[in-house]
Amino acid sequence: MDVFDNLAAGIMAVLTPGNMLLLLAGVMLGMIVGVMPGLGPSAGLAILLPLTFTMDPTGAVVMLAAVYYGAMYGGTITSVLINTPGESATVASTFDGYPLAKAGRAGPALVMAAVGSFVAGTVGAILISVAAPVTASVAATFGPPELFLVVVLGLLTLVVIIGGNRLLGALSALIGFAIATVGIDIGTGQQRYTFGSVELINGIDFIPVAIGLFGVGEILHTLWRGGHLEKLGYFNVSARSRGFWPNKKDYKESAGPIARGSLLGFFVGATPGAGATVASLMSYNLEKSVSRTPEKFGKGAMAGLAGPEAANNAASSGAMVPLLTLGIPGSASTAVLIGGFMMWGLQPGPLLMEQNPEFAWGLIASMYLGNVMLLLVNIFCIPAFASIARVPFRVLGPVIIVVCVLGTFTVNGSIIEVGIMLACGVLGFFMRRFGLNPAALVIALVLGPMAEESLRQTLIISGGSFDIFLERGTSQVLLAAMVVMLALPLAGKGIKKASSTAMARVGRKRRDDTDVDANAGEDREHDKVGSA
Amino acid sequence: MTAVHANATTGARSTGRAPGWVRPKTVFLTALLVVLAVYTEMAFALEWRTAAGRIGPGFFPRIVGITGLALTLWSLVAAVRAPAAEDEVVALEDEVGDADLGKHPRLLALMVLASLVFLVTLVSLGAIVSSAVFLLAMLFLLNRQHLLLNIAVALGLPLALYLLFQTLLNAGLPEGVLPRF
Repeated sequence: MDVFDNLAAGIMAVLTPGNMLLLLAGVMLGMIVGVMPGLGPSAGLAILLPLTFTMDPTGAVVMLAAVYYGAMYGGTITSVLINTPGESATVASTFDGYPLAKAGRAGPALVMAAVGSFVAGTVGAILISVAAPVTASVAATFGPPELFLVVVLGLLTLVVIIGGNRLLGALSALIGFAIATVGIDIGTGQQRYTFGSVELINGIDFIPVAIGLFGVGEILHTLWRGGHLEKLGYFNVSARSRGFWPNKKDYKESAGPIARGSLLGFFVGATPGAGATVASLMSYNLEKSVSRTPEKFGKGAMAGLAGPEAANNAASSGAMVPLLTLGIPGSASTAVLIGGFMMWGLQPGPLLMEQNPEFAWGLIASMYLGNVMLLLVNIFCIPAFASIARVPFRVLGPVIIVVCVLGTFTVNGSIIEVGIMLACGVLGFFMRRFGLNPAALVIALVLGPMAEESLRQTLIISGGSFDIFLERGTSQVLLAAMVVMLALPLAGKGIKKASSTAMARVGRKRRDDTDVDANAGEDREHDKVGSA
Repeated sequence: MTAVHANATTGARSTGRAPGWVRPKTVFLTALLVVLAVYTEMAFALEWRTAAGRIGPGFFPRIVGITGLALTLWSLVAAVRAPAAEDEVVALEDEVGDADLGKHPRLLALMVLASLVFLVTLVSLGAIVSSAVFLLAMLFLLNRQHLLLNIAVALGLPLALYLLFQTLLNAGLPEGVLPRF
């Protein structure tokens, strides 16, 4: 009953004209950011964060959450229309989205993706309403040892699951931890790595780092690989054209993938470190494996677009569970959101939901309302957003740098922070170029102080002994999870083979059933012809 | 394939032939190794434990520094020993795009340089003027064919951002040579 009361209170808190306007503005801004080449949700959130300084926390988080969802969907528009995903979470949407656009079905593809996102977002909001309080009540029993292990586990998951070079992923996280040690040591009050600068006494703020790595870094990388020369081949989409709306077959083909994608996406997204990219790719593979017509995948199968779209949006909701209940960001975007929480004076962690219920439930309530808003804006404004996707990078690149510089300056009015932001932009370029992971760096930067503080408290409790991690029941479970996570790359091939064999078996069975149905139909036709 | 594409592709392919120790990734990792070595050295100047027996300010930095050094060294050795083709890591989204438009380090350096000038002049010239100068320079470089559009963007965008951040949100942008409004 508490859940309904809290949710109702959250909805009431969000349902003010001001917050509804912020929700609308957030969705629109998010979609604009999402369709801009070279900018993803994390960059968009980081750049737009300074706009929320003067707002109350609920209004600010309502707007930023809307930016987050809007940017996720904005990436789909570019994936479908110009075969360029705004960020990695929408890569899977290009596999069948672009072939659909090439076949003249861009309209149905985008509308179906919007419907899939809406359903998944709403399923995600319902699941988070149930899962968040349960997880929060478990997390509230965590002491410093468990909190420290959760932080390490979150980063470990990020490094192991995201793939690529795990060594460089771990190195990225360590660079984040190193940056987090700049400033005053909380335990002793001693300065570390400040080089006598007053500006560095409070440490390196994560906002310039995030804006630099995700905003400027992306722009520099796109410029380096010739984004300014790109001539975009795009498909027009108009709501007035006859073929804009999906037909019954599209809905029928997409219903199952959307349902599966929603559930898969939520649970994958709720795992710290996994996130929307993994969820959408898993969903694509799942749909292809269980499909009756796997040969259509990659050539314009609606199921190949609807499933990953649903999964990526549900994962965005799922990522809010560790964010709200443990204070652990599961992805770069949620790391920026957690930085926002701190900026608005909130303390992320297991007690956030208990101490700031109106904020936490306001955020959850905004997901329900935001999804409705997103669906309406999506469907009626697709052509308008599609035209933004056509603004060439050679104009957008310098514009985004100016927005990043002025946006960073407004945070604290500090020119040093603008310098840090630009330096992080250059670092972000090299990190992307050489396979390091900027998301791991930002997440470690946000979690660094929490890790150090919880480790310090743990060792105070234990009198300096690390045995405490082995003595407490919950710590043992978390340590076991870490061992499993470390063993996962070794067992990965076996698991992958077993799961793909199982999925292939399901797909084969479904195809056999279809053949039997089709043969039975043909037989009936023959009988009819024969009797005639 | 157009002439631009052909040149670009050739240019891109010719980069992978340098010996392991002078490849860009090796240079980057060496620089990172030096930075982490300095970081770790400074961490050892901080206390490991306080007089009261609690963990000191150097505890966490030393662990981070030593682990970071070990991982960087490992990555460096792997990078030197890796075949040239593996030098370049292509991000997931890059693989999806079909165009290979070459690599543009000179343009990248110019953008970084222009950004530095923008940073240095931001306070003295003010947000509007320094942004306009930066935009004019970069747009002229990247979008030469559309002079009018470049001027409109270079003047309009800084003004719009100033109105949003300063006039509407009172966020404190530097006014520089222009009066505050």
